[in-house]
Amino acid sequence: MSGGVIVWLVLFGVSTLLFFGIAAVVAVRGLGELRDLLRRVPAAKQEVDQR
Amino acid sequence: MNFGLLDWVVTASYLAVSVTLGIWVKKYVEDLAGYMVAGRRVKLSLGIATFVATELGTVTFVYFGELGYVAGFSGFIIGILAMVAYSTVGRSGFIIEGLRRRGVMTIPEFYEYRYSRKVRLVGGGLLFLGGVLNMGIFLKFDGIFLSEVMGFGPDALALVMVVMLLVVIAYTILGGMVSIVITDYMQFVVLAAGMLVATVATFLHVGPEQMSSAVNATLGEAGVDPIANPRFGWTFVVWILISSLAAGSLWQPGTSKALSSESPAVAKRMFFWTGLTFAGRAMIPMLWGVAALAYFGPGQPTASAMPKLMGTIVPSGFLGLLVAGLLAASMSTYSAYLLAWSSVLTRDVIACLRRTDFPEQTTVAMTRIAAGIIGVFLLVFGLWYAIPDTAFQYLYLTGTMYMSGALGCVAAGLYWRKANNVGAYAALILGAIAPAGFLLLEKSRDALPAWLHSITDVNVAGLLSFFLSALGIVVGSLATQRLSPPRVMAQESRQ
Repeated sequence: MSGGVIVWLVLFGVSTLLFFGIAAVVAVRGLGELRDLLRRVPAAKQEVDQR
Repeated sequence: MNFGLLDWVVTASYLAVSVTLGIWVKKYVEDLAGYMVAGRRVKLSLGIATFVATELGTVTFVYFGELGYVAGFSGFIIGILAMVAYSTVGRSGFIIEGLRRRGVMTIPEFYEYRYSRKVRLVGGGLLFLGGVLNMGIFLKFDGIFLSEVMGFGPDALALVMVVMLLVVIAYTILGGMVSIVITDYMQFVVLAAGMLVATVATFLHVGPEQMSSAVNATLGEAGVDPIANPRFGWTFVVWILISSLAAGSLWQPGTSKALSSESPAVAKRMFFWTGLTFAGRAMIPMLWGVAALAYFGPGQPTASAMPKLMGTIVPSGFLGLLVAGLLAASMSTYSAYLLAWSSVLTRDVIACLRRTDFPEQTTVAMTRIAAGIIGVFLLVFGLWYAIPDTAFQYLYLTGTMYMSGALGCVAAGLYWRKANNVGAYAALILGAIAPAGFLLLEKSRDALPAWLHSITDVNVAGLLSFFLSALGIVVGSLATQRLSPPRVMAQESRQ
């Protein structure tokens, strides 16, 4: 295996870790934010309607 | 092929749940005001999920897989360039912060705000043209992926395309724009899980040593060094870096996510963290493509080699999960793109032919009709058009048709007081010339005089486009300061 291939495979490993790491955090925190959004939207909509 | 009964059940169940949830969520925010309020309240994690989901459709996997198959590891440079560009936009707030502070919802809207309604018309027209041509190959590539993974083969391509189009248009009409937030989130989670399974399956069947040997035997140094690869080279690297910076800040479907965020600070953080996923977004499917080269050898149809590998090595059940995730990916991408381009056509082109905007109900009806017409265009164009070069380069070139002019107009509009209408027209038109020239002339290269041959090199055409656009805004503006005095923007902030 050439040096160039090893460099690309290391970069692939780092990029893949970043992708799945961020995906895991976003999956957990995003669920909470989604619940919050669904709770807040009807209230905000009511506020807009009242104006 | 591994796609069996269990996979059909997983795919159908996921789609049913996804569409049902999309419709259920719609009741919360089905009117325009509700949508706008919801849009302005998107927080960081949800914003990242929707942003990545919008930029990750089945077509993304197919064109990156194709690049891995034809260019080996050297295509990985694209992921690095995209990560650097998007993270830089996020870190610096380049363009997106200025647009978000001014509260615009579409890029052409900024043209009217900074230049004039006519500049908005020209810019909107180019955005629509570039966007629809760009989207023109989505359906075909999605069809290729699904017919290969599900084991139907190339003969079923047209049928799969028609079925997909019907499902997507029905989903867009039923689910509506607002449902995209929740379905994007679900898609992101399911797709990430499917990608993890597919990557593990790839390494279990094709080891790094095998991939390295195949790339070395088939492509030699060009499979590892992007500068030595005749498809790429320095022109390509510089073009893709500039183009990714422009796409990061100005590609309507993606930028609209930042414009809908809670605040300019959240928009910047959303871009930064999303940018960090962009190397993986490109490299993961490319590695599958490299594995397809090692598994099948050269000589396969380039776009269908990777999907064929997935259909062969991913175990039954997990394959259904992957297909479901990809179908959902396509649905949310199509919805976002169809609605983005149809609303650009109605709001920024047709409405700008008049002095005043259409009433809201007329705009909505026209947008729906435009979405249907674009859908039919995708089918006809996808079946008829033979893509020049790789799909990736076609997509970047059609995107460049709009983005080069937009980069000049918006960057100068935000950061240079002397930018004026004439400069904006020059930037938009000159920026579109080189990509349009490539698309029109590429098939008749041999009949062209020698001095025009360079325009039929996709990388030269792409880079030239940004150069001409920059020249247009600078020279056009400086030469006509008295004739067309620059408009001074108000400093108000509409957060």
